[in-house]
Amino acid sequence: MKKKVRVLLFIMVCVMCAAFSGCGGSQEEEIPMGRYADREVKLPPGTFDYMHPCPDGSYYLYGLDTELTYVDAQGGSKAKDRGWEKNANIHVKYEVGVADNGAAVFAYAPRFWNDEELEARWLSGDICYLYFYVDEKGEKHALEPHGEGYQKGTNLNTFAFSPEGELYAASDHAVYRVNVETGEVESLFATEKQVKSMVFMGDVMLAADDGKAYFYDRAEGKLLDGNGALDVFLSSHSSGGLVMALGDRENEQILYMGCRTGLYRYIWGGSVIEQIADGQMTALGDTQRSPRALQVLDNGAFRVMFSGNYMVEMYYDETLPARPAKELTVYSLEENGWIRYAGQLFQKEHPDVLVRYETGMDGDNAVSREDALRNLNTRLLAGDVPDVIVMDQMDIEQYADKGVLRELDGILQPYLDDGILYQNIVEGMRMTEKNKIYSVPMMVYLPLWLGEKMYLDGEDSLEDIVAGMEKARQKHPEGAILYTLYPKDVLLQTMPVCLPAWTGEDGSLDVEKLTAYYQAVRRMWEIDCAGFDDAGREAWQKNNMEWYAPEDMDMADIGFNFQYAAQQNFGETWLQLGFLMTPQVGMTGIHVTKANMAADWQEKELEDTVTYDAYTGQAGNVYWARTIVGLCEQGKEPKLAEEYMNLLLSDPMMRKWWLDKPRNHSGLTIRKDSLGDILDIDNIEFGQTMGFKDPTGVNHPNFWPTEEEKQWLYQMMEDASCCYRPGTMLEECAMEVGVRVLEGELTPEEGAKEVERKMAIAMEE
Amino acid sequence: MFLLPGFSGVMVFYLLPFLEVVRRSFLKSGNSAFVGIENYRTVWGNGAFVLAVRNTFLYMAVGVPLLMGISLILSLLLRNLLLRRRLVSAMLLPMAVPAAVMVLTLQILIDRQGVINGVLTKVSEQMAALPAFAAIDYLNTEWALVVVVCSFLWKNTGYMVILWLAGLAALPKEVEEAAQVDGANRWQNWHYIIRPGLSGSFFTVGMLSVLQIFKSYREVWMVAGSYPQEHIYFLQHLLQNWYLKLEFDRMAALTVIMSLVLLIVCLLLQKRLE
Repeated sequence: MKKKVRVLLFIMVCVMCAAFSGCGGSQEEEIPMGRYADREVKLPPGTFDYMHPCPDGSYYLYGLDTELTYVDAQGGSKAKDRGWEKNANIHVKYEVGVADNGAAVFAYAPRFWNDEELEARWLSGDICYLYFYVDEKGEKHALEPHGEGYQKGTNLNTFAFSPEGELYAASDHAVYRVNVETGEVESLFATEKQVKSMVFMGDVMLAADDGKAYFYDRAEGKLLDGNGALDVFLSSHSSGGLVMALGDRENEQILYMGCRTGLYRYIWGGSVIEQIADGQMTALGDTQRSPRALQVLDNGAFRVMFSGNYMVEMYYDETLPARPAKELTVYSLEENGWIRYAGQLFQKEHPDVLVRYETGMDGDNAVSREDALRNLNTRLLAGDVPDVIVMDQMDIEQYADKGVLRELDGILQPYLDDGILYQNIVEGMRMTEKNKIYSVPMMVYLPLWLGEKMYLDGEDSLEDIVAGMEKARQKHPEGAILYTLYPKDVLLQTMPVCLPAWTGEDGSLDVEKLTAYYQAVRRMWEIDCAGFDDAGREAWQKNNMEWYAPEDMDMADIGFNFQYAAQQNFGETWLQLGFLMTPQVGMTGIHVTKANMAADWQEKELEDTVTYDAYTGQAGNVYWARTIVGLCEQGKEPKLAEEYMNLLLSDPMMRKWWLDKPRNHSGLTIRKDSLGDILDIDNIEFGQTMGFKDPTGVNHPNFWPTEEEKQWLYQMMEDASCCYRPGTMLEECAMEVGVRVLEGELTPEEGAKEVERKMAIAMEE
Repeated sequence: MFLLPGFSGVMVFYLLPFLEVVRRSFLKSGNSAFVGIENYRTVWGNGAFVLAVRNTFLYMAVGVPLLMGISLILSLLLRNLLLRRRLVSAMLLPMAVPAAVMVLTLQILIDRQGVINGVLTKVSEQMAALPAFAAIDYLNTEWALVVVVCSFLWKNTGYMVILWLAGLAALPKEVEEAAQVDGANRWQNWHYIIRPGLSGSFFTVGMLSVLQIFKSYREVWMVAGSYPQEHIYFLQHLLQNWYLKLEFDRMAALTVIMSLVLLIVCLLLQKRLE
């Protein structure tokens, strides 16, 4: 018996040893060769968003504001002038469908500017899109959809021509066949959602919406059985755009589908969908662009057209390993387009490296900031450390103190020695206790005020703004002075420039300054509220929420953002506080805002009336650090992480980002030469929609900053030395209490004491 | 031999991780340098720790006896009622309410502009003899602990009543009837028959009440955040905040201290029971 027990014990020990022997071990594994890579295709002049692929490898390019352009299989291009661009009635072209022979159908909205009756009919749904058709010879005629299966007022949003030239169209609830000569519409089948793609395989048409694939037999005129595998695929891969194309390989009809997660193939009639290219290793994974069209080429390659005038050719490269041998992990709490973009560039430069970009709060789930931080800390505790970490909304001191972050002085010193970076901004990140830099912002926002000269000329502290508001209120007893709808808006617009002044070097809270802040903002709110009665205030809030606030934009963001404020044609306010978020567009925005304000005030002398300057608040020379990047001490690829950091700090990276994404609000680059270059770029994209009419009635299609304004901006960058980072405990606490102070629940003194009491526990911790 | 599988599980999932925690309590988080008892000293001298311990024990000292007492009285009252089952079911309702709904309800009640303040203001306006009532921000004053204790009682009383009722049902009716025949009054019936018979239930209800005290942290956090009013700042707040601040070394030391305290309490209880 004892022997049996011993044998059993021995066997158990052996099994445990065998089981645990693989844990944590690394084995040298041979990686097979060959995977899809991509290269950018140079497009003809113009701004294209869509492509219609032709079977012979040629394609048509078009954009909603750019004429149809034909590109042959060898890449030669010529515009096919159909004359539709010259149609004076077209305001915005919404949808376009192109046939292989160049015939096209267009849907557009009627121009109803200044025509209230037409606009009312459009808003009520009485009229819908207008359509016209241009045949392959360029003959154009209006298309008026009608027929038994078509309900008047239904918008046709998706068009596709069959190989025989028949036009098919889809509304948000049905698919139709349209006679291009007579406009007669035949309803074919109902759909659950808007069909977004239609492809043709002989007599069968496949129409796909975001969750279902419909197979329609055109000869028999009936719907065929669906495919469960395709339905599942569509419902889980359609977000961010999905494109389809048919190919013919080895006597099998194959449906190719491209989306954010990669390129997939489905053998017609089968039930398996197979991934052939990983989105993360190709341009398909770019979250800033949506795939718009896919073309299958004879040589086994693919062309993918993306939104934003961008096309790539995906080709199979046998010299590349099937998956990269090294991995660089980049982590940020929230999605950061610039960081993702840098990862793609880095991967292009290092085909043997996979850049894995991970976000703590990816938007699709309800993970809070606190949960995301907890998850990150668990990872760090377990030794699963990212190589690069974006420290926005994170406590840099804490992570540096605990040895998570690596000292960056060595990497940054050459940039500082050569005067490439704004030293004052980099030095603003130095941790005083350790006298080292652990993270560096790639971009910054600068605080600005803008308003009528007579109230604020030359003054910019918090008290001066209050005094200016009081003067403005005396002159304008009714309406808003600031663009603030709720108490929180006042706090959000003023706190960033005051918060850094509330703490001493030892982290202690300056209650006096906080009290002064609460007194000032309370007065600001009272002045602003004095221009409305309760009903007026409510109407002002409702009107602004409805018309100017997109769902994904906080009202405070709008207040911050001059450019956005300008675009929305505010002008009902006398003073704007906010941040300059972009170099060129931002400067243009200031001018548009100025123009709007002056126009609203019916002042003719724009330059003498409106002025703007840095807004110092209580702290002075504040900059809002954005995209703050640090490297992890325990990262697995320290060399690669260093290279990645150098890429982030490089001029091409910063400039290219701006060239590709002129309208984003990442901030002003901390590289001096990049900032200068961006301001000098003569690119229509930067000012295309920045046109404005000044009070004298002169139309300014574009505005470029003057040399004086550029110098003013450079000086502001040179002066910025006090770093504001959002998301600190003090800010959250001061914000919560501040709302109560503004609502009258607490006096400013009580509010400051309340913050002090709350902060006391945090300090004790 | 038969103990081996169970022991292995305990080893792998409890003892080894605990030993790792003990090890980390002597190291500095980040660079893992040995710091001796520095972490323990830091925890002991930490003002937030002292506050959290004091509040947690005060909450326990107030909440547990109140819960046990109220639920026992209710169960004694309900014991012979015909509608007992329905009433008990109704009392269980707060347990079924999701935490988010409970928090929302609490906010509606105790907000500065909430129902309680509204009612009290109305009453003081109606009755001229009473002094004018000023709305109270319950969660940001000393009232915070009262609010937390009340919500704890509201949520858990029903469940504890069921446990007491189960204990009462297990008592032999004959003994009570015999005592009544012998002329025992209600107090004697309670003191000499019911109370000794409920000693087993007393232990169970007491333990569960203590556990519920720790579990109620979620509601407190949801209603008042990571840094609540100082009277409702508990040990869980401290641990959660330290975790967010990467203070793993302090957390490890605190865990060891708490484990030791619990061990001593258990040993004392065991000795007393023996």
